Amino acid sequence: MIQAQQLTKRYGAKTVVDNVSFTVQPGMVTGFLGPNGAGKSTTMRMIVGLAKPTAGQVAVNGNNFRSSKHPLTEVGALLEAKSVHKSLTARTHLRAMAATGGISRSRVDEALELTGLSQLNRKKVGGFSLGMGQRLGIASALLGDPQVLILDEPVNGLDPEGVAWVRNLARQQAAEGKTVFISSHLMSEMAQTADHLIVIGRGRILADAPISEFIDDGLRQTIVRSSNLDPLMTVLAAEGVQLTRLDSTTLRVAGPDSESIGRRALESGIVLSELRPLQRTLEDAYMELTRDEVEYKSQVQHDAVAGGTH
Amino acid sequence: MSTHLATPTTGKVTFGGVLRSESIRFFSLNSTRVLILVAVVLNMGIAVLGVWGVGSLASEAPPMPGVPDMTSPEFTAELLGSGLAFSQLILGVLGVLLMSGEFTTGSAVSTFLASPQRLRVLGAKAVLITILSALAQLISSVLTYLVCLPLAKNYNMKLDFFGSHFQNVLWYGALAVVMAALIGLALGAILRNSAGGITSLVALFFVLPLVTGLLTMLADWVQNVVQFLPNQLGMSLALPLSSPSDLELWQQLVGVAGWTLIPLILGAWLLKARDI
Repeated sequence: MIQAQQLTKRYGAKTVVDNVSFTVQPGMVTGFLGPNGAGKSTTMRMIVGLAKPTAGQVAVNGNNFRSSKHPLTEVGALLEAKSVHKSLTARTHLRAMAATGGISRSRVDEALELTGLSQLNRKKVGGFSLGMGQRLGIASALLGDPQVLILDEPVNGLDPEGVAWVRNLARQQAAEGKTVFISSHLMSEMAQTADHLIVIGRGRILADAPISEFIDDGLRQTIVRSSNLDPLMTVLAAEGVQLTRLDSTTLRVAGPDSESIGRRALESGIVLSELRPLQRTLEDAYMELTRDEVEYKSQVQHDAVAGGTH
Repeated sequence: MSTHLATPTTGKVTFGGVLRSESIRFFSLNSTRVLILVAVVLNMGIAVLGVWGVGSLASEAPPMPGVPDMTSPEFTAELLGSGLAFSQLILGVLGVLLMSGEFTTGSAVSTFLASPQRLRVLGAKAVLITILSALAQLISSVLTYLVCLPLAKNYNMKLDFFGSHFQNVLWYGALAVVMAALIGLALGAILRNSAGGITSLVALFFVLPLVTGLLTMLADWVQNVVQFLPNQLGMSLALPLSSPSDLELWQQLVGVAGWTLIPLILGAWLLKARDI
């Protein structure tokens, strides 16, 4: 279990993590989602004591990780790919890490086998591809069979098989009762892996909910087009439905499904030229949530956002 | 692919474990072996050149009155330590790299995940570099003695392994090298940058003595400061005839202790306080 309380990190005048509180529960996969620069990595670095919080605190299984006596069996973390001396082989790196905690050599071999790196005996880490670096990072994280697994963007640079493998790994670790905390900036990835989502934007928690709730959280929306909208608007407004007039012939209706809107239109005696439910995917929900919180906004507005929720 | 590991683990982190971990990495790097080899060879080569130069000069011209006899057993013993400054520099660089490498390669993340107690890591590195640089210098001095013995005999110069002058070269030389290596380690922890650490080390051991050497002509008190510079302390301890000092032995040893401990304490404090 990871518990953060009013966690804050400032670098000079810039607040990277802003008074953040959350709990990551064991036995499930918790996704940590946010745009680039939202504060995900900084938060993770504070959890494992590599960065010191400016204010607030964070505990792993009830303790500060920096005083952990069994760090490798307590927390396994992949924070940066290739956080290894470039002139070492994967095996030497893992052996050195294992030695600190008296972890056996056979365990190193297992970790290499498990991540598909056992064939690269003599290859130096400096010559690793991004994907191989990620695999080595995951191997280091699994070395101590830790209670808490923290993976920062683990699927970066992995091939589809590798992505599926990480997903499978996360689910299996969670099923064994471990705490699994995975960051990503891709909602589509999280949608397939996580049970619970914590969304962060510009250092603040925007949402903290089970993934199912996350989708249902936004109301269902429907686009209605007609040359004579007023009678329909009157009926719907009387029922307390939230309406947004997009232009003279277009209306966005939040709440009722398309069938009941069509029935109201029939009762009002108006002709509809369009009745279209908006597909609200997790991706849309995420985009909507973080729209104003993106640190580096691209100049070109994405069609998906414009067509989907505006 | 499987996603499960079977072997159970205990995982308690100990100082011995961290020391073992540091040694595994240290000895797997080629740079380590190359630097130690270069230090040994250079130390030996300069001593050979010294004995050969002094010997061949003395055999051509008899000693002049008023000038100390360079072929005396005492001076000959000190000739074997003439490469000391280079040993200090190279093993000092090794000390810098041992710490700065963590930050330039990013391996600090793995290191401090495996041992979140940062001072334990610094302590293990300090023990490792102390043992290694002392051993390297002791072996280098003994090898130098063995290589120079026939050469000195050739010029009728006497060498005595157990004489106090060679013993000074042997043991105080090792102390001087350990001091340099630990200053290097501390610089690595303070600056977290290989180029910066090595430059500072060179400045401390080579540039500062030159500058202060020039300043001694302007003011007398500078001379007292010069005697406390780390390279001068090492020289005056290991080679008291060629680098005489006004300081008492205990003062020189206190100086060495200060140069070793103060940068390390500063490095330890910064390592604990700063983010990785």
